Amino acid sequence: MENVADFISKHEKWLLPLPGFILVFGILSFPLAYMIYLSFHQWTPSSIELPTFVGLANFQRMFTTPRFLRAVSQTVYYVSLSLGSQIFLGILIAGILNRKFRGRGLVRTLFVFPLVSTPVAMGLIFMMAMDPTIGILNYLLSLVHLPEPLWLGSASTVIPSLVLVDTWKWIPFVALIVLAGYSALPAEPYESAVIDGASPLQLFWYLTLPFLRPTIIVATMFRAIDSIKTFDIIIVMTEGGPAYRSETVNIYAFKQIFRNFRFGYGSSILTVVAISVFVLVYVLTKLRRKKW
Amino acid sequence: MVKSFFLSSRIKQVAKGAFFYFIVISITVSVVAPFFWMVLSSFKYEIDIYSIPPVWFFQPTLSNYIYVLSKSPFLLYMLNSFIVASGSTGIGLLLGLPAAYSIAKYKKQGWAMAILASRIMPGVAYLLPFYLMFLRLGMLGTHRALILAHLAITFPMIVWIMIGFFEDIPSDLVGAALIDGCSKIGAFIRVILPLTKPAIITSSIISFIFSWNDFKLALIISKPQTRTLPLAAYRTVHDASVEWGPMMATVTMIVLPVIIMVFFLQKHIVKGLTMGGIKG
Repeated sequence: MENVADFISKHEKWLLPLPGFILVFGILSFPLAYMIYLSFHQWTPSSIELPTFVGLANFQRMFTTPRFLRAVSQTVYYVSLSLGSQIFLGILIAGILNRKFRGRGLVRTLFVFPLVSTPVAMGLIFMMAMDPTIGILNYLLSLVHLPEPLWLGSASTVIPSLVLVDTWKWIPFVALIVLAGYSALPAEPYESAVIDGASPLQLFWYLTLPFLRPTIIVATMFRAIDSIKTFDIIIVMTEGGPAYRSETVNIYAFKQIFRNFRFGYGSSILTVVAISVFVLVYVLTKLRRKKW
Repeated sequence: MVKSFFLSSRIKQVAKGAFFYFIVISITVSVVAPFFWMVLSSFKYEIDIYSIPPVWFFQPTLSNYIYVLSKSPFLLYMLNSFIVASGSTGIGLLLGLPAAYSIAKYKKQGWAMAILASRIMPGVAYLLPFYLMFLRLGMLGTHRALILAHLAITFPMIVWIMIGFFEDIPSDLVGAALIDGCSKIGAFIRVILPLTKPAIITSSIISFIFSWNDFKLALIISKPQTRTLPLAAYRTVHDASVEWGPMMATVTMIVLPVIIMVFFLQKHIVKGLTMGGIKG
């Protein structure tokens, strides 16, 4: 036993993480590599056919298919709408939760609930609440004489409806991260600014926001990536409908692989998605480091 | 003059305070309302669930729960979810703690980036490779397969959270333990781990929850015997005709355990989620 412990200690530097990184490369990189490999092949599985190399044909097909192009614009719509509302409201709510008030501990506890709830389950709940005739949301709207939308049933309102659910679930995430940023704010700039006669709004705009910038960008990055990857909520509530109008690129790729069994084409879509996300993260990381 | 000025500013104070509390209460209600509605509806007869205007005073019933528990192997699904979540969290800790420690201690930023990269991959991208891999290995539908697949969720999460906490530990601590005669592994187990116990608890809880909530991996890899809860929820609506009552009971039983656990462990969860964000 002595020798084993010594051996491990001596080579600790690479031995400790070794199992972990076998895991990383096995479980994480292999799918990535295989996905990229399949992107250049055509493969609809049957016992006879093997993947056939087709070069860039999948990518050519992708960018000339209206359904894919529409999926891209729908994804952009979905992501910008959810990012916009989540970051904006998240910062506001963090500001509110930062103030001391009675019951703040309880509110903070309750706030975590949406984050940990099972997306599929909450999707079902909201699906029922959004039913145009028997759903509770339209009932509440009717009480205040506001128009009652078709929510998930209409092409024009389906994405905002999905964004509403996504926002309900993830605003607490943004708020909590920004709240942690609040606790790191230095006190002196505020003190001198107040002496100089700054209003609360000025304090917020010229001091708080710039200080919170790195935190906000981190939150934005996480939410941006996760928004693009949204799957559970959409599949459960609309399956990409009505008439493919809530199909994000992610959902479109899933359907190509698991409903149409076009493994090569579906993989090429996912490759494009992965590259786009990578670029996005790169840009956001640069923004975070920049000092302005 | 002075008196009326004082009074109106007082009123302004009260109004501002009331407005603030109004906002707080509105936010809290919006956050909690779906859960409240879910639990309430699960005890209603089907007619009461979809009647408009909504019924607040109703005859409660356990029939939905009895239906779900007797007509479907719900408890089996719950057991499967539990097995898979514990398994993948456990293995995630076993592999992730040393990895995170090594990254923190030797400042291997490259490895950290590789783990971040796993977040970039769309989850859907894992589905086909995993399916083919487990198919060829004959492991489709086993617990082992889903546990391994979920490591793609738990391992990065645990490493990501723990790196921050390990970085906070002064390196002299290990030196002191070595002088006292510990082997390096002993130092790790006896000194470092107890110090980071809260962080370990945090990352375990978060990983467990994310594994418990997973839908797409379970959709592809599990078979009826090893089905997990999110799948059960999906099927209440997408297989046969929709039965709202059983659906509400199913969803309540899936979400409530996690909510109750979170209620008591909230501090840990918040710390873990934000730590992963700040130190990133």
